[in-house]
Amino acid sequence: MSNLLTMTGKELRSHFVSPIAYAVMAFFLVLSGFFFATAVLFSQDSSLRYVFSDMSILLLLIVPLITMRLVAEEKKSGTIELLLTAPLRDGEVVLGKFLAALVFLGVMLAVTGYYALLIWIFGKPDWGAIISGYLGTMLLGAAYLSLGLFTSSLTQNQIIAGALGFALLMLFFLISWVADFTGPQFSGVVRYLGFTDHFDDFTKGVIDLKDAVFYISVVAVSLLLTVRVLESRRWK
Amino acid sequence: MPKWIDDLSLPAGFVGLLLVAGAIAYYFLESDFGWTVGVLAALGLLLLGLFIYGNSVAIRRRVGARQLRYGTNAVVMVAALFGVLTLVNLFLVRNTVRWDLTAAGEFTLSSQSLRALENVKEPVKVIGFFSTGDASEQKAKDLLKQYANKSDKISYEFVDPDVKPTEVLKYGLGGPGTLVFLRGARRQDATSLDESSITSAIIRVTADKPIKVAFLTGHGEKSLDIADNSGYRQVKVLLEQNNYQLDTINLTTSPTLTTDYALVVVAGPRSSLLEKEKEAMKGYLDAGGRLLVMGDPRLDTDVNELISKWGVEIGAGVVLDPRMAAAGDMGIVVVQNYLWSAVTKDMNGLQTLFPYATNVTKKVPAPAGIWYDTLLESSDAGWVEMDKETPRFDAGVDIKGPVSMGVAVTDQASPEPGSQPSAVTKDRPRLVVFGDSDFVANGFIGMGANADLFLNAVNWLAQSEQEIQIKPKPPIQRSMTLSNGQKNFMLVTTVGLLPFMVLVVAGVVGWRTGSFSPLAPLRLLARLFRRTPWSGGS
Repeated sequence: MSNLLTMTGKELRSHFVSPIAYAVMAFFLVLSGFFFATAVLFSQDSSLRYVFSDMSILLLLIVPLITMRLVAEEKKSGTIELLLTAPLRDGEVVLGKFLAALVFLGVMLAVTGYYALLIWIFGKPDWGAIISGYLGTMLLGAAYLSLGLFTSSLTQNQIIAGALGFALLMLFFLISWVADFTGPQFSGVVRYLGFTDHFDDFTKGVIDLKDAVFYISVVAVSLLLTVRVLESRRWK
Repeated sequence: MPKWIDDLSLPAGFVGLLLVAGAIAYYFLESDFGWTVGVLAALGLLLLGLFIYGNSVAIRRRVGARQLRYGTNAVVMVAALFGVLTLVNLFLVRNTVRWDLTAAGEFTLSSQSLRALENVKEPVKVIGFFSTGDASEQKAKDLLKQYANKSDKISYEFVDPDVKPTEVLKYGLGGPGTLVFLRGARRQDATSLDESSITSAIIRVTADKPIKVAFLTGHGEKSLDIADNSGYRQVKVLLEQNNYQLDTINLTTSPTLTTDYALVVVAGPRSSLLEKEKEAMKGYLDAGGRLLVMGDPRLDTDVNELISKWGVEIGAGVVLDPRMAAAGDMGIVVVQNYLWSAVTKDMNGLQTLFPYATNVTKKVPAPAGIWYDTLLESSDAGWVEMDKETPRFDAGVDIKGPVSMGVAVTDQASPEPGSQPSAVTKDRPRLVVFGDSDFVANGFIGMGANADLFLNAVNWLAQSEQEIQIKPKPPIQRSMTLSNGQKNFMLVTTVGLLPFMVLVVAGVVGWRTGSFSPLAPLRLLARLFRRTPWSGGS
């Protein structure tokens, strides 16, 4: 446990002493602020439902920027060998990197709490819907991060890792579009694999255990795959 | 290993791959996992197995024994986790738990709706017809999702009438914004997007028997069989499409009227009812019957006697409205003023045409336990013309607008006069009175939203006890009224100030730790924007 905390702390520090993290955060805030302003000022509705929906798309672009360097950079610089030979289990390395990225995402989303503050000052928001919206965004973001971490473990080139991560996230994001063409036997399964259908209820103010477990399942499988990929260096 | 396997393994692998690809292609083309796909896939996999077996030595040499062992272990572990998680997800699809965190429980179905869903034994398919960009489509989706989550018998899909106009013609719809509920050959439409309307539609489409409606005859009422402009043939088609069974009754020959009939319609009588007919109607209403009366001006009937107990009266004059005249005839009134009621709640923005209607008045104050909803009015430029000769407003003689042309009555009181109103309307009469019977005659029913208004009135009157008990959720007001200054403040602080603060923090961190230049994030952002395709930079 202490190894995991040490690993998470180290990774977290590397996030926050990097100019990239702040640039990514500022980039995210400019765009999400724009979406908030257009959605709320246009509808004059004290709800963040459509802002959360926009954030789910925005994170498709942002998360690969966060995750692309996590393992690929260490592979490129050779520090991954040091990590893997240190008295740390591979699982702790992967989980530490994932948790640190999740905390970074949490901080980024916490800053957008300012939007909730604004609609509270000028309107009458439904706090239940806001809480479930943030919970859903964190779960969706966790699934994105885990897939991004996995693609980062596949290569030592950060650009390839980012592009691969973006492609994989897009695939999960859009897969439900093809559900109707896959026949009655598989359309339900394909639609279930899509990220969007599980996210909608959270933005409305409804927490569905099925949706939360789906995102956690994606995280679990992706992290296990990442651990196995790192382990595979020792098989040769 | 036999030599024939060694010889055949390569072609077998090639053919196997082709067969598997063919099975996948066939499945996507036919959208059916039939025996053809099954046989192709099985044969393909068998041949691929033969290829792997035939080349097992080469594979092991290429991959390495250690790598193969660890690799297999890894695959087994991932497959095991995947299997467990698949089972957990499958279990939750059927047995999930939902928490509605909204303050008013906006996404929680009432116990009445849940009870109605328990009685759904056969699949009910709902088709929503909404144009792209229609804001109410999201509301319909939110509602239907709740029903589909609670019952695997409910499924739904949405059709854009502009993209698939043939579907609109197939279901004979007037326009977008309609939900069509289908159970086998049975169909029920809902145009209101609220829980009570959707549950009502489900109850009606799954009911074993259609709802019986009686049309009174014998006094020159509009006929359901006449197809000319003055007849009610289209009313018959409309109501039968919506699961109503229409009977015509003549109380002179058989003066019994039971509450087997959910509703009695009196459409434009031109002569008076006999005493025994009035008695039969009174007995029916006292037993909780529902009545739709459509009267016309200047007719010598005593139809008002049927409804006077509830303080409603059909007038004698003709409503004229120069501001809302259709085709230059101020006797054909275009109505756009609907007051909020269960009948007219979705009529805003729609217009109806009332040809030569009369006014409907209500008693002020209302008798104990009686609740009135004025349904629609002429514009304030309209009036009730009492004089047959001069179509001009005469103060003191004519009645000034806005003129009410329809009233809904809910009797909440027990039959004894003077008793307190009850909250429950079980077995209590309901009435809708229109000052016109021609607005749904064949010549007018297709104009504007006349059919919608009529069907809404019939649906409200014919509601069963179970349907009545679903109380509409109060609308939640979450809109903000923002001044231009407040809007600018929001825009500037969210798009500008907040990201700027992050860059300031970055600058401080960079300066304090010395790990990067305080301006590094800014340079990175500038580089990012300079590289965007729209900026024209390289």
